[in-house]
Amino acid sequence: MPVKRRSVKGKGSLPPPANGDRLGTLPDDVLHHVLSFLPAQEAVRTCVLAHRWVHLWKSATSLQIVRHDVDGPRAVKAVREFVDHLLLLRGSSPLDTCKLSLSDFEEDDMSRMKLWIRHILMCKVRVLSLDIVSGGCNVEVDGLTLVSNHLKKLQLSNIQCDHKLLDFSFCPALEVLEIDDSDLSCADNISSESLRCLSIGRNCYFDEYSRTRIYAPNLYSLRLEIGNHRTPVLARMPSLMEAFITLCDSNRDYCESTYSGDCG
Amino acid sequence: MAAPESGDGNNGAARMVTLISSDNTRFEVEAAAASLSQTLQLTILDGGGGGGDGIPLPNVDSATLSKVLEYCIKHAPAAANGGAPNATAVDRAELERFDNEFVNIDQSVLYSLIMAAHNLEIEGLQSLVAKKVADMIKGKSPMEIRRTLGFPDPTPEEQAEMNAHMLEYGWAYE
Repeated sequence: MPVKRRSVKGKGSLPPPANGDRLGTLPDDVLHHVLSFLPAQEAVRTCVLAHRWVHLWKSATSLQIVRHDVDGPRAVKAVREFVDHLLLLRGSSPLDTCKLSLSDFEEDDMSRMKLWIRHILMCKVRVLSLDIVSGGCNVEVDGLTLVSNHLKKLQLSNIQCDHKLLDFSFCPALEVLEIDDSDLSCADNISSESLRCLSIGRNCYFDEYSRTRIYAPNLYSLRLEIGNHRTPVLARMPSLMEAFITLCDSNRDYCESTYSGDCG
Repeated sequence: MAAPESGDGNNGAARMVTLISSDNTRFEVEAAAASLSQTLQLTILDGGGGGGDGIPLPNVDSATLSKVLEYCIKHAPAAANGGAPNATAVDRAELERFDNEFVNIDQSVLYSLIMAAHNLEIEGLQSLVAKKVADMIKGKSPMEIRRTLGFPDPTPEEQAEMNAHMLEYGWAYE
């Protein structure tokens, strides 16, 4: 229904203010919001615009660290330096969302990458998205335990997950977990007491011989696209309201594959 | 706490509220649409804005309020469905088309709209206009961004400060 509009006696209409040149005078909150829609590089570069902007980027509550155009070791080194500077200089200023999407990183970079992730968690991030490709392979994030009282949503892509990464005992606020294009063959367990929505989709691989156990007793929604190898075991989910389970044609969940007596 | 007024869907007619712009124009709109504003939501839940009263909005002029309400009316049905999980792809595409056209406006209107969305705390609109400004400065040089945001040309002192920061922030220019 259209708005009914009716002028009443009073001051009458004022001419629209001529403030087209005032976008730069918007409140800090608004400009932080604007910066959150820019890639991190461009957000940082706004520091040169004017005196007021020098530190503005440091308080933006959303970070998009996305680099897929890196070419050669020199470019990778530049990205490493960029992220080091970015995180160190913005300090522990709170973050709401953070996307870390990088390619062509080497195994040697993993300890640094884990440090970045820990730092981002320290900034009380609520929504974290990790997508890290190394020369076309999934990047192995071994030995990283996520610890956060604030993390609510986690998206993982192109990650080789081990059981430590997928044990969310220390993320009591985690409600949504989305995993795509990742290798879950080293993940014996995926466990979270608080999880409400779990999605494991597109090209995820479980182990060939033993079943991954999914323990999420408070799950409300489950979406599972089972690729090759062993189908996971679901522990009790008494709150489950909706589930979408897809078995791909080439599923090779054969009894002769089992080493652990988990067939049947 | 006052109960919401009668007529709230009981007889099929949607409850209406009246908003009054800074230049004293009255807008009658469905409560569900006006409630996209976090600022107004509680007042409306408490039964405010009905009858002859109206809710005054001293920071929003009529041209801007008209535009804001156009957005709210378009987005209210999807918001009522809890973020529209049941919305079809066609519905979503239509909202996207609407949003794209909605922010295709000159900068003075955009500025007023940003301030209104901010003051009225309309989350979807806040993101839409912030993204519009981000798109306006994306991929531009510092001088181009300054012009886009309406800064005057820098004084020699400001230019020197810009150059110094560009050196200091060399790591962001690799």
